Amino acid sequence: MAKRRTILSARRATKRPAKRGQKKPRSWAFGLLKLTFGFGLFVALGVLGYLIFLDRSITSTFEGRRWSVPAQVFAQPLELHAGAQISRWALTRELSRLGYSNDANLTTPGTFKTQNSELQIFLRPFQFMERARGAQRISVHFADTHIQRITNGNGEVPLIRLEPAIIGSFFPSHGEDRLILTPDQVPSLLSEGLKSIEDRNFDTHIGFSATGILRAFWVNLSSGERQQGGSTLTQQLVKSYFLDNRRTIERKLKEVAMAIILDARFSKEDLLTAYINEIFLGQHGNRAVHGFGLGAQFYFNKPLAELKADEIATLISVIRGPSYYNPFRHPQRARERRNRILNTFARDGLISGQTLATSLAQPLGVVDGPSSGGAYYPAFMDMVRSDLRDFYAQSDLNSKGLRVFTTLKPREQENTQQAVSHVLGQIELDRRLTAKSLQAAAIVADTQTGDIQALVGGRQGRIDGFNRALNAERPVGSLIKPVVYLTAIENGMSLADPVKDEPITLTPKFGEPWSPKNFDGQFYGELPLFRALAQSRNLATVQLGMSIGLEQIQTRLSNLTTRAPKNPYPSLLLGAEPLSPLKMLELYGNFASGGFRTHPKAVIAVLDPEGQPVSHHPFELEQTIAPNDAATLARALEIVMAKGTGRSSPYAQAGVAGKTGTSNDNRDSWFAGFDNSRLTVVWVGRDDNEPTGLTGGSGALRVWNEITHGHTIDPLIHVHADELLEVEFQTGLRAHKDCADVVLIPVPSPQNLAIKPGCNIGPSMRQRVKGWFD
Amino acid sequence: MLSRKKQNKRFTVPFVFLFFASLALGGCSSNTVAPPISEVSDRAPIERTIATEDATNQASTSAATVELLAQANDSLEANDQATAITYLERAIRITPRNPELWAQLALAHLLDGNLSVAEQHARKAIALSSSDETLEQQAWLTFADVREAQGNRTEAQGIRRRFSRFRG
Repeated sequence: MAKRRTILSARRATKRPAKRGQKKPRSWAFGLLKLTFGFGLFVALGVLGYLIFLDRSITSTFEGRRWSVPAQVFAQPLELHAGAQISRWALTRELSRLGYSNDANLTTPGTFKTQNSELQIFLRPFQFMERARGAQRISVHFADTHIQRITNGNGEVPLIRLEPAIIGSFFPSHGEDRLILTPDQVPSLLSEGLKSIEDRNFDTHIGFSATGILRAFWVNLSSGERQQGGSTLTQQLVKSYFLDNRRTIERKLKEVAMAIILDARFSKEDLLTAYINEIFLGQHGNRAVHGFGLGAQFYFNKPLAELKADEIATLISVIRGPSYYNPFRHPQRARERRNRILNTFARDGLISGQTLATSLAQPLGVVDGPSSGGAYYPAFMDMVRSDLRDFYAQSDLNSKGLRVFTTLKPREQENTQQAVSHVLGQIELDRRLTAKSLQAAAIVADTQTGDIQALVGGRQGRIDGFNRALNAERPVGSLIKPVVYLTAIENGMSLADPVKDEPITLTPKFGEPWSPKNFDGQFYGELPLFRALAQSRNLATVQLGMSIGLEQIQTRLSNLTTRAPKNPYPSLLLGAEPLSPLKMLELYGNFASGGFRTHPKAVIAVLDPEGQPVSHHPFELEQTIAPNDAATLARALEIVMAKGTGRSSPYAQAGVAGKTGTSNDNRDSWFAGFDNSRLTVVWVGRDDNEPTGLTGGSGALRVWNEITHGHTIDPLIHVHADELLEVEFQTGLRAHKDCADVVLIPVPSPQNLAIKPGCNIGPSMRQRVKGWFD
Repeated sequence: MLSRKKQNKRFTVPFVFLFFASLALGGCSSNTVAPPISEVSDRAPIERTIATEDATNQASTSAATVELLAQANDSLEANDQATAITYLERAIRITPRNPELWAQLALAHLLDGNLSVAEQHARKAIALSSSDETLEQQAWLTFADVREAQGNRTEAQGIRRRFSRFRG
């Protein structure tokens, strides 16, 4: 009741205006003030709450995101040492690929100069797998096509490496790729230049600058174009970090609030470094280039520290419109803006008048196109990805700033890619095939270590598409035959033993009878084992395989490839088994390495951003073939090249071994070949699996010839050369080169081998010497 | 030769046995082809037939190899097998058919406790060394060390006996 009365009296009181007339404005003002204050408090609390919320979210995002760096992938570094086979010209080219420039004074790392037969290099510092190497000057002395010696200020250097080329990075699916720079890696011209062009009050404002907006307005108005933006660097950073591109008042207010918070929370240096690492500088395919570290690599193929004034100005010019000022597409426009920026640099005292003059005269100097220079090899990167899949989560590769060291040899890769593209075009022309109808895959590996040096997944190397080298499983045809002959050798047969090249019909318990044919439809009757392989006789191979037993061959194949064959029928003996080029590389690795199954690998080691090893991927090998049997098979595969289906190759007699393969109706053309140091597998065919009319010899072998043309052959070694015996190629009978067409093969008991009639052969010197002691 | 001196020290019997004492002699069988031991001991020394590189080239390649071997041995002495393995693999990438490097790599893996890897690397050293008596001896003795660590003492001793005549 009392309450009510009070209210009523209060009401009454308000209804008595006359007597309390002079009090009325005070009361109104007070009420309004109260109301305003209440509302103000409410709004202030709301804003404060929102600001706290903003503060929390952006501070944590900002701090967290500073470490989100895609893993960087490196090729194998080029080793320089006395005796290394590289000419001065080739080394100069290699240096240019790494972005080294010619400089008569060798002033900074990343430069070189030539003097007589000597090449002086100022090497960049680099964190290698096992240790860091500082920047240093070396002199490389050449003799013809190899390095004679290397010296530095302290004398002879036994060996030293160039830093490896960057071949890619694991940027996430939304495409942001970057290289993180620490504040001390940022050239002062870049930080000062950025302030000069983008935000003159950066050091003093609170994240937002009203005078900046006014000045930009005035400059743009007076120049008639949009030369300056009103946003501070902090606002630009906020935009790039947190916001989308809508232009609304609400978004603008949010941007200003966030900029003020960031400015209060972090030092100016932190913010500038974040800006330098964050800002968007260009796009290539689905890869978005962020930050000046990667920008320098992307546009100039050099570390940021080596950029000159004009190059820094070009990068700064891109910020305003990475597409509008794209130096690749609009060089003229980009150059004009670069020059305006250089003039501003000079006006603000950042560069001298002389530097301005030389810089203005420079061409843009960007690399040929976005894909060269920072050369990316998508097919090889697939292999790297698959090697890392078991060890790292995708998110780790996208964000932890890991450094992946791989086996790729860029020169080998480019040689292989060019050979594939060139020869496929040639074959299409020669055979009047539809242009671009053929496809191919090729892999080159080290015979002893299994290191993949080059991997080509299709005729267009730069395009990230179906990777035939890893994923195209095609019937391998005669490429499988060496497994049959190896099993025969392991069962005690000699290369000179006879096999029957005669018709055979196999009737399985279930299914149709099978009568294989020879490629030429003929049969040779009895012939020596090595010749049956050399001429790739189907009937002889099936006869031999069936006499050994299909099961044994299957077991051997699974053993050599770590994969059980899918085909349970005798047609397996002729390669009716689809396998990928990578699997074929693994199979032939057994033959090329002297009897070791060598895991083909692409990754050597992974380091964290501080240079500490995270994982090491050592050589993986396992002895699968006794050394003598491996040597015997390698010898037989050499005869394939010298006298058999590989004899059309210009390298047939050069000490190489290999095997051609063709699947039914000429759908797949295969070749696997090796010398002492390189193993190569090539597949040629069509994506729609239609016949190409090519055999292994007329397709894949031609690609191999072209690949091999790119380097010197390292001929196969015959460790027990004195134990090899001359036999006639046709018959396998003992003979010598004056009386027959002979080949050299190992024969365990030569005394049992008949001598070709008309060839007069006495006991060998070795046998005679042995006879004296018996 | 710097590396050779250090290597001999590595191969002294007490050192190797000290290491074995610390290993559980569980043994680990292998289903792969064993190197043909009988052939090796009976075979008359064979003249070297390797002649792929000219003399200058060969000599200087080994200068780089010697440097890396020495660095690897320093790491091994500092008990840092991981770094030693990195150096040796780097050396093998330069001269992939050098049996001395493979034998040393086998030793590094052995000291690191990777017995099956060590075994295969020792087999590789043997397969590559058949044309050089000293290298072949080194490779076989490394293989014997691996065998011993795997618990196959009889085979290890058999191999050591075969090669004892080479020991100075």
